[in-house]
Amino acid sequence: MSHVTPQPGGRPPDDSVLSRLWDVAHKYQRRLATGEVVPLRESEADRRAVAPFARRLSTPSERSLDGLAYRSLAEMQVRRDSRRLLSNVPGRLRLRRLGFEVALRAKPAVFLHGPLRLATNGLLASVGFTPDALEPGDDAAALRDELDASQYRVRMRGVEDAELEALRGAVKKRLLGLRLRPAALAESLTSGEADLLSQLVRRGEVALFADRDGSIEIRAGGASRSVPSTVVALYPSRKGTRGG
Amino acid sequence: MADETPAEPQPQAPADETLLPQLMAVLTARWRDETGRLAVGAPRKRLLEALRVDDAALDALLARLAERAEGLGLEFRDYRRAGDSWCCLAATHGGPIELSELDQGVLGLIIHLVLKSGRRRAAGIEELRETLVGREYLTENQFQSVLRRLEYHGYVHRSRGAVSLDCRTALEFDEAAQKEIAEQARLLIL
Repeated sequence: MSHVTPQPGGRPPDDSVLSRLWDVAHKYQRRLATGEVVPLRESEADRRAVAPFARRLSTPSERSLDGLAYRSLAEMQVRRDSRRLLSNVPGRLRLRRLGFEVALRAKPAVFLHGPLRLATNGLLASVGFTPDALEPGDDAAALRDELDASQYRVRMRGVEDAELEALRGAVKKRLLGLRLRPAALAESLTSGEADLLSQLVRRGEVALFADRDGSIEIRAGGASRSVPSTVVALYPSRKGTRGG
Repeated sequence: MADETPAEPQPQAPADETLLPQLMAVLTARWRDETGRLAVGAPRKRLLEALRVDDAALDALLARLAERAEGLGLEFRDYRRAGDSWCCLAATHGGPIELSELDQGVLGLIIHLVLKSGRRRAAGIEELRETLVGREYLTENQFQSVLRRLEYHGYVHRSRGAVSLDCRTALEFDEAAQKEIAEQARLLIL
């Protein structure tokens, strides 16, 4: 590697400034990309060779190339230092450090668990927030009441297997043979019933078929390969959206 | 769900009011396919089936959802999984992930090895074991349990002596982040 030293008193033409800066920037960018470390002595020589050009930069492209050359030198310096420092750090600690770097860059996929609503009695209550301020609509209030009620039921008692079976039977008996628009079907079900219907479909006791006009027919027996059951997204049944 | 919808004047059709919360629930769902691999959100094909709309209508609906979700710090993402196009919601900014520091470290190393492998898109388990167990970063037991945990949470997929990145890594770490992580792994571990 030969280094061009600036002529004392002489002003090299712009081309040489540009090409020298380009050489240095390119060299370090390449080494950074391949993960090599340039020894300190060589790096320092390059820095000294580039330093006098600072007074001779005139065009924007020269200035940006100069910036790139310096940034590459600095990045190489960081890499050299960290490699030296890391040689004293135990392996387990380095793995944790890498874990930290990974966590910093994570943009997690979101999972909403449990009852899918914001708690209205915790933080929000402490700032005087009332849910009515957000949802003046009747539908929203009804939905909130239903959610509250369903949560109340779940909290107060568990459901026996036999009772669950009876509930499934009741839902099956009520819905079998019906032919409804999806909206009408959704209206006729509470979220719990929709869940039970979903379970019945999964067990192959009931199948849903969509007609051409968009209405849904509920038939006994499972779906076959030739006549597949239709997937129906129902509101307010959240658990039933995929299974139905 | 209902509380999360902002109460601004709605220019769209009223159907949105019921559809968007449902889509929100569907796209933030986590479930497992028949092989036990984790899936996030829902395949586009099934959304089209379930909503009985065409591509353009679904795109419009998802665009409206994406607009609403933005206020909650979420963004709409789509990804490829088993040859299908899938959709889900992910956080716009960083957030806690469900892995311990060690798991994250091993994931970082796997990302590096996979990127290094080029078109093969997989890292040899032996090579990984040699690095982590051979150089005493982890014990064999820890190594196995970390790999199991990463696979369970849908970050990596093991098959035939190789480990490849699963959908969740692709979702949670974009290309630039993966490159930076690989760089850090090379610096810190190798």
